[in-house]
Amino acid sequence: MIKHLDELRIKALLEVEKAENLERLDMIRIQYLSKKGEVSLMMGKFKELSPEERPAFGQKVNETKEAIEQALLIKKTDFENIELLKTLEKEKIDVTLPGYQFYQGSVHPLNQVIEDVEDLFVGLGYEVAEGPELENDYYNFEMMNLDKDHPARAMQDSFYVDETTLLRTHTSPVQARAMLEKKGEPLRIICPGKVYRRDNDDPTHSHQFMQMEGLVIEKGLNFANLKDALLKMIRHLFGAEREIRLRPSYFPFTEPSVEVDVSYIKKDGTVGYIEVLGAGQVHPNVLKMGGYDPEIYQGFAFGIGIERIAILKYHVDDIRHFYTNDLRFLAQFKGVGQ
Amino acid sequence: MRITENMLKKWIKIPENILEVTNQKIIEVESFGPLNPATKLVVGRVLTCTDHPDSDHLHVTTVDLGDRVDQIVCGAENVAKDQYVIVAQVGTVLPGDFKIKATEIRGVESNGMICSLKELGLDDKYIPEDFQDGIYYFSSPKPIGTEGLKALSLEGWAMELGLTPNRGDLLSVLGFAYDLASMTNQKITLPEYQITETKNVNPTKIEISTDGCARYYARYFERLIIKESPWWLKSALLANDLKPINNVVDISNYILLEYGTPLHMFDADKVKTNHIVVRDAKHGEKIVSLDGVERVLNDQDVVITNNEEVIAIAGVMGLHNTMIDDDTKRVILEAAYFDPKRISQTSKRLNLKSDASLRFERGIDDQRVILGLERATELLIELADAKVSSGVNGFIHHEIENPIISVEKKYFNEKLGVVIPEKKLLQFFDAYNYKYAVSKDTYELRAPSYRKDILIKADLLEEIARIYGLDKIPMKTIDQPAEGKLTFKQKRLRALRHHFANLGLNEIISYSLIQPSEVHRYQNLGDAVSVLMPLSEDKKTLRQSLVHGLLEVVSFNQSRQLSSVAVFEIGNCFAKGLETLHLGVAMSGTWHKNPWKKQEVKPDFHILKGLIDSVFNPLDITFTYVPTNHIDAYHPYRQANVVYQDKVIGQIAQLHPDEVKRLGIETTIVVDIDLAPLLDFSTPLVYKPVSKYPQIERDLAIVLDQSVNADDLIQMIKQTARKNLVQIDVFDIYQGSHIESGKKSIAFHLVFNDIEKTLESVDVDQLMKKITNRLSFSYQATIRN
Repeated sequence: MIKHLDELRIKALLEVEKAENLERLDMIRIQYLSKKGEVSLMMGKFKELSPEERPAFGQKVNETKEAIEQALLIKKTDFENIELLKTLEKEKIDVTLPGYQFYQGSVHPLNQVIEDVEDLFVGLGYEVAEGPELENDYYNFEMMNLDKDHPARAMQDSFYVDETTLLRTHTSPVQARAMLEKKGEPLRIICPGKVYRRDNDDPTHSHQFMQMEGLVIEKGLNFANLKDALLKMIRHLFGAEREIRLRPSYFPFTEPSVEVDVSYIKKDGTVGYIEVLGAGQVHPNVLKMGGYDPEIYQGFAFGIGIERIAILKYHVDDIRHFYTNDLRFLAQFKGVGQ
Repeated sequence: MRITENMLKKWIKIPENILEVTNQKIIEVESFGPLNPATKLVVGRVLTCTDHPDSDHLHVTTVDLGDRVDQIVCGAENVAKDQYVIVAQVGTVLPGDFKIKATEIRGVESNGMICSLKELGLDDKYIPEDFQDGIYYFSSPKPIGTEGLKALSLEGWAMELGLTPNRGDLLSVLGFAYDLASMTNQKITLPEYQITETKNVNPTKIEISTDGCARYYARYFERLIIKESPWWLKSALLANDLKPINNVVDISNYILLEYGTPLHMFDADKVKTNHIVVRDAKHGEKIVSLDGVERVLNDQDVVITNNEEVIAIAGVMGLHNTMIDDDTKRVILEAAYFDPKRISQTSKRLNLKSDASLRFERGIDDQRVILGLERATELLIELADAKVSSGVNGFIHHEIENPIISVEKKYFNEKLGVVIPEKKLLQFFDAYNYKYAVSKDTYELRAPSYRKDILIKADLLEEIARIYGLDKIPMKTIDQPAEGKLTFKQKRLRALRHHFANLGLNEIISYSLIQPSEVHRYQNLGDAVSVLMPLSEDKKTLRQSLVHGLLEVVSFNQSRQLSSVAVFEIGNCFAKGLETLHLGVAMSGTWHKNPWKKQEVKPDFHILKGLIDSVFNPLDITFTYVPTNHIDAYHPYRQANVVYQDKVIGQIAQLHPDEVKRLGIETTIVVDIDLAPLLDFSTPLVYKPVSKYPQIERDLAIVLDQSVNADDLIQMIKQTARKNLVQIDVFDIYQGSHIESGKKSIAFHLVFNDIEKTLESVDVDQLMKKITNRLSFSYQATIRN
């Protein structure tokens, strides 16, 4: 009888194995496991066995049942999976089709440059100072050591709105205001912002542009400190391999004054230099007007055009691109700095 | 200022690295290159000149080039035998990259070209009339086979200096030579002037009665012959873009370039009195200047008079009444030092800028004035056969002296961060021709008379820095530590900018100056502010709204087939007495989309409103939106004031269809708000516990008059349900056939909860009843099932 159970099990498993669909599986289940199924009927033989044989036989019947049930379940799951897969196949999509087109935003390249420079200088202990664009000419010119007759004032043809108010020609008036606010205390600021000059717009000029000036006033500051700050800025902006070269120049608010060139590799492989910014040690008159004793305090200052940085960094060929705001231009700066 | 090798070399030994020394130690060099780019030009002599057998205008010449004789076909009418000419040989490159090749012209071999001045790159207006058409030939024999450019005094380099206003001393070749000498350890030696005077005594008498003139000298010339200048002199002027006129004028211009000291010449016969008086002009004094224009002077101007009438505006322009003409026989030559400020004021006011006034304005060397006069005298004798009367008459009103500057010995090293030993410092002082005295702790220095810009210690610092070498100064980090930071406002602005960019908007920067007639189109902050001298009418008035620039960008891009525009700007807006930071957004076309799925987000009023709310929500800033129609450029029924803490800070609106048409753009939604009230505070965050109890949701649909605003209903519901209402959404709006006309249905989804206990259904029922009662009472709303 045990043997017969084994045979039943093998036969049932074989049939399960060969079953082609869920209906057939159901038939197999009925054939073996239903109340009148072949395995269930074997339980009827129970009475024919001696009490000693009964436990082993009972166990065998259960094992057979379980084995067949297990086989049925596995086979059933297989069939269900195949069916599901068929349904899923009908849901097939082309994963290569374009995705939902989210409009790509961007920060204006000039503001990206400003944020980049701000981050550097904040790390070096500077604060970021601001001031009005419509400025009193006392802050814009007089406090920068340009009196009414100063020849340098002719260099900066400006937009006056009345006798004493103009659109600032540089961000220096912010420095003037910051000095007065500090009331003689040491100072370390950068001032980025819009400035205006009476230049006709062309590929290299814009009547409105952006500038960033820096000003440090401390006791015992010297020219070597200025050179250090300049080199750090240039390398941060243009790469660690860059060098700077200084040339004598003139600004009314600094003395000595220098122009700063940055090195670059020319097409023929040699090193060239291109002018990027102006700098110098703060003129004693400017310190005095700002409330500092030039015999005790020294300062240095520098100023750089934000467009100039962007033009050099990204090889932009026309300053007007920054103000035309062609989306095809702006979109190119979507991931800078990330 | 242009420095040529030709004019510089007589003063100084020119170093090989002249470009580097100048650019890095003296002043910026704007350009450097050969004065004339032509190569391999030689002087030749025309041996034979015959007509071309096959042409009615060409000539066949043979030209002796020294080492050989070449046959050259020449088209110029004025070519002739025995002329000394400039020959471009085979292989010569002429200006404009024109290469000369051996060729055949109508069957006749031609090996080079006889040059015209035009072919040598000279501007038509500078070419003497005789050589306007045809080739150039020398008036006297020249050594055959020698360098052609040299024969024309066009050899060597030319260097354009980028002058700064402080370095007036560099406005002359001699001045440049002095600075170059300092940098190359050389000394300038002044020449002896070859002047033979006649027995006649200089008849002029000079007086100065104004502070505007420090010194004045005059020479008196007779029997002057006005004629063309020699070629070397013309070349020198041409190299500086000065047009040669005649020997007398050219000499005066040449002295300007060489010495930097302006001269003026009077026709002595017209001056009549020989009595020169320099004085302040009288207020309202009228004169006719050299250019024939009548001008009114004031007492700030300095004039030269013959003691009776004005004969020149000092340093600026001569007068018609004493000008040199072709019949001039006797000349009074003036050399003077005028006050820079006075000259600057006069030339600015009369709008008369000249090479002379520029030099006076920047400050000439008062000690060199007499030298310029003597050099001119020498040249007038040599080139104009002038007979000069004996003696220079002069008057010194006051001495101009550079200040003595006292400098502590440690000053230079401390301020530059270098170690320069005293011996070296003193060498620098000597190189610069400073007069100085050394005491225990200080140096007392005085700059030479040609350096009017060395006035204070810091000026000397710059001098020491550049002669020592700016590149030799080391780099050193500042010792004192400092805390750098962005302010709260700066951080918030950055966050706003990045938030908008991350949401999918492009930041733009537009111009602050706009057309005056447009200024109140989208916003009225107050009286308009306009610049006095605008570049153009469309850039005259300061904007009061960012919408102008935003719409221009929409228009610019949409006219280039870029229809999807979502842009924002953060920038200042202005009115009389006001400058404030605004935020503006414009959205047009399609924003997000998936075309093949036919999905898209088309910006409308509520999309932009939601965008603004979502950006400001994290900052704990909530706006209310109040309907308005006061801006005509906006849709009258789709515009709202943006209100923050009971103050209108701007507007959000859809553009009026007429405005859309006017601009030629697609439907556009804009917002423009004042950021000033939103930047300076932060709300401290305190954690609020989250309710542990289940929430109860209810829907409420009511029908009421269509004019009632949703926000009024929401506010009333919130006030009624108070703390137990945790969320309220509008989920349906309906107007149409199923309800009475003039009414609308609005449906709310409400979520209730309590932080302390499980909210029972009856509690919520009670709240709902309260809500419906109030809505019915206040708005005659009926509940819709």
